[in-house]
Amino acid sequence: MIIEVLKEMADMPVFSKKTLANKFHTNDTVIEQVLKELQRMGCISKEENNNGCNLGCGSCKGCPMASSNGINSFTVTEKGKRIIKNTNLC
Amino acid sequence: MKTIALVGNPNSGKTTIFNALTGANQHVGNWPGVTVEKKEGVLTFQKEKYRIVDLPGTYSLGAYSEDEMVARDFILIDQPDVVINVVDATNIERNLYLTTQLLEMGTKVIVALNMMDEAEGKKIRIDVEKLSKGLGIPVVPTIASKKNGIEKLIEKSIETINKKQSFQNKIRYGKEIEEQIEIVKELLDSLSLNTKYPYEWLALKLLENDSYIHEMIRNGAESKILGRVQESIDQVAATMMEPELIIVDKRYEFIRHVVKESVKKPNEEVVTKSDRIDKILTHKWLGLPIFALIMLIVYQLTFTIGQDLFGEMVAGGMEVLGEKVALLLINANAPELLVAFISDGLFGGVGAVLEFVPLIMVMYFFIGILEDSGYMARAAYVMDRIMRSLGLHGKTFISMLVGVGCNVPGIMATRTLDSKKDRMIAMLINPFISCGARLPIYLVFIAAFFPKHGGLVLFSLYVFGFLIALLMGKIFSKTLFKGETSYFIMELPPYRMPTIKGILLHMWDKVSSFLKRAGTVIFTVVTILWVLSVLPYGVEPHSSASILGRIGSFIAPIFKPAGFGTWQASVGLFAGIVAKEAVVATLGMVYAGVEEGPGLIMAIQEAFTPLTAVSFMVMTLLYTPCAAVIGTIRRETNSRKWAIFTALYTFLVGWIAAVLIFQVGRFFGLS
Repeated sequence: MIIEVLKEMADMPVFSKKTLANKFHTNDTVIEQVLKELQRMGCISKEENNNGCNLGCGSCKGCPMASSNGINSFTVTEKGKRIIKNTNLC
Repeated sequence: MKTIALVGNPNSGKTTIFNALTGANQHVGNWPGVTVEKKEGVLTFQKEKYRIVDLPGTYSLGAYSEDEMVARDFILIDQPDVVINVVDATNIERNLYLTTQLLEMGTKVIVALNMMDEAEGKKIRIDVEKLSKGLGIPVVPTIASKKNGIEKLIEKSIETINKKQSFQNKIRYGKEIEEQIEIVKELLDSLSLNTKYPYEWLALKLLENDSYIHEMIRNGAESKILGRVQESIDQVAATMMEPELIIVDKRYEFIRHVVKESVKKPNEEVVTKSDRIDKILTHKWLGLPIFALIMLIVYQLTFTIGQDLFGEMVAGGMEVLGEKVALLLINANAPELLVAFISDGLFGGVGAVLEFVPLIMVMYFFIGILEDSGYMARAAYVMDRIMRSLGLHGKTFISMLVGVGCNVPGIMATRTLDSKKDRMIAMLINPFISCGARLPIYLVFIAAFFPKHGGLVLFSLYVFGFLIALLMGKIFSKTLFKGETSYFIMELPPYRMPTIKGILLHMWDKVSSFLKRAGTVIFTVVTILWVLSVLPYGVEPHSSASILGRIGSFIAPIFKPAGFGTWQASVGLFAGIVAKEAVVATLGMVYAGVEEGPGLIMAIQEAFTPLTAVSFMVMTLLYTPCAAVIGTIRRETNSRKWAIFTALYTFLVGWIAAVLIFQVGRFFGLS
């Protein structure tokens, strides 16, 4: 599934965990886990947008602003692209 | 004493099971060398005592956090007699990932399938027998909160402890990987490493590129085997793909197979409500007009609530306070200069800025709602399409959105852009995005000339700034920074009801930085300008004969073609290069000279016309950004050249736009 998720992500300009979960007949927490694994393996990179928060509390843990629906984006890395290319050739 | 370890995902009910097993017989400490909490207790069952260890809650057993390391090392090195894997029955797929890793360790495992009541409530039917068969280990359904199934869990645990061998289903990784596991395992066998980790698991982790294990081997006596491991990795990668990806993929495949056989979930709505909303909000043609309409409503509400309701109240309060303080100082025989400074400089200048705090609060309150609800991500997606069609990177819009608060974090937000070309363009055009500090300028002029169409004028200014940014971005991508634009994937978060706390924090974040600047930078600027406006001694304060007036008069001819070639307006714009809030503060102070009643707005009405007001607002929207922004560009580009270029080109763009508006307006008979 992890490879399919990577391929699916590379084909879409926008996604939600829910849409991916529906597509792979699973739930969004599993997709979240898959995305973390892909990040860990360097297949995708995640950029979080903290809306330029200036509160300077030192920690975002538990802050409703940090957990607010900010704009997060992902990029398929060179490694990810190579894997997709290789699996398409297989 | 036999040891039973508890492991599970956070919130799986692991601690409730631990409490049910140990009762009051427990103590808390720390795992050696780390700050992770260690909980241990004793279970007495049929006169036999068992040591129960509650391992930290974790989603996997990699080496990516202290929690994972502690759990993994305890299982592999301390080797408990049995591991109870607490699985949340309502989210079985995610929880089973940890189970697969336990199976890989070859340890004796039993599953406590917890929260069965909640699973039933959600109409999730789990065939425990089939699940147990699929995993190859015992599965005991439990409801820890009601202590249901605990006794059976204990019995099964003891039964498993007493079994000689653990019978588990193995995860199949495919022929290529399994061959390489065998090769690496044999290699490890032949070297007899000084480790307690099982060799088969070690081989799997080496192929999975586990950084901790690689480091451990690298620092050991047999580091040469890493070369052979790399050969194995390369061999698999050459024919298929990186082994780590295959291994993780096979774990998910195993989980899917087991779940498919044993779990029945109610048919979830494939097209959710969120999907239906997204279909409209992110529609190819409707998305943009909807976004524009929402923003127009936000600006209109900002005026209606911020200005009409609170703004006038604060302005009135500020005026009364100013008068009272001045009176107090006069009665206390304070020096005339001090009284003038407090009333004209402080209340006329800094006070003029503070009057707009309610509007800023209201605007960010509504923007906070849009962000918290998840709509802003949709807006970013809608804009992304437009940006791409112009050859700009979609993330540029995200940095622009941040720039609406302040251009400094807006420019910092461009760090997420990978290519230098995309990043440079995003940085150079960000100053055209109207920041919160420019808001008071528009509000003064709108209140003076367009009070009935405040929302629309404000909206138009933001859109104009955005369009200029896009135009310049397009020009830069065709001239200074040619090259291909890289793409990214945007995540649409789920819609949710904004929380009051979140919105208020969001609002406070923006307002506090505004207030901080008002109390520091603006105060300093106003003080310096006030001194310049009363010197040389003997001239009429705030007149063109003062030093400030002379500086303004020297600059003023530049702005004559734009219709606001007065020394006061010039000084205001000049001060705006230090900080944009200083424009209103300066105007407030220099026009405080007209005193006798009218206040800043009336003074503006006398000094400007509707046409020159528009050209002045456009100038302030586009011209040279404040010193902090220029400094940030210098720091981020690591080049003084780009900082100077930004200061100059934005001034030129602002001046051209202001001149065009004034001249074209005059040509059509507007005044």
